[in-house]
Amino acid sequence: MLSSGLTEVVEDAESIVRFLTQSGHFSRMNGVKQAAFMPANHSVETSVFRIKAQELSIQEAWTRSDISHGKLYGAAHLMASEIRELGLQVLASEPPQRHAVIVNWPSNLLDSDDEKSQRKELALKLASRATLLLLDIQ
Amino acid sequence: MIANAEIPRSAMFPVDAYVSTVASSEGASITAKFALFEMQRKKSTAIESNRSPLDSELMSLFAECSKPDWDGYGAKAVSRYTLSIAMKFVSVLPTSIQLPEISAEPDGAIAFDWIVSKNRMLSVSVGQNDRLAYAWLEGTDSGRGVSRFEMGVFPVMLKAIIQQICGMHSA
Repeated sequence: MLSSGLTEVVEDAESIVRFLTQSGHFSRMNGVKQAAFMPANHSVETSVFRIKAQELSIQEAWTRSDISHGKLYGAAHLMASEIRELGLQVLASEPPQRHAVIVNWPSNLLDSDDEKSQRKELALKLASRATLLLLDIQ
Repeated sequence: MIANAEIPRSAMFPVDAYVSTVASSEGASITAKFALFEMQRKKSTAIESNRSPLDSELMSLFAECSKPDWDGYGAKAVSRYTLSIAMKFVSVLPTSIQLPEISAEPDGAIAFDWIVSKNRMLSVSVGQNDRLAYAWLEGTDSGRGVSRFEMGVFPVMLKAIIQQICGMHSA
């Protein structure tokens, strides 16, 4: 058991959120964009948080995270199983509490642009499956 | 307006002046190239007036994402050079293609997204070099690739894919 009280293994039925800190990473009409899920340059992981709607709101999870110095617009929500179906993996990675990472992103050390296109294809699929949860803030 | 600094000096000479003085086939070929370039430049200038909303969006994006860690996750800053390539990309967007949405990516690239629906979208990344990484989703099908972006010319294959995703016929 982790210090957050969550299991060490992220279960398929768990809710996973990616905090949306950029207005350009979603649109009210079209939902979440792929850029919200892309890992940083040559990084191997995308930072996410484990959240259970009944016990922790997006805002509470955000406040407990270590990235809460920026602006929060909302979150992209997925089930862990939806991420794994794409060949990606979700692993617990505390601290901070409830933090997890999406890993298994394609890698191509010989061609960073080819690597980028592979990752974009997966990020598009994540965006397609994600539900946009917006906070009522301006 | 396209800045004069971005236009080769050769393209700034009046094309008509060459037409009347060329005699050799090689000269005619050069003249034709000048004429073609001038036509493309004028067309680009005309297109740009329709694309100006994207230019201002790019400037806003740059203002927001030109410092490291702009997303709180450790993102790389969008550079002025990437911005300039993105603006050139916008300047050659064919008029037959609908305007994309733009966003910054964690590696400092700028993404151009054509989103028809949640299951029909395409994204092109403009980064620090002349290669454009892209991917698309169409129902249960998906694909990806890398296109070379030669300044002044919109990649033909990319145009076809965008039209396919957006449900447009070739123009």
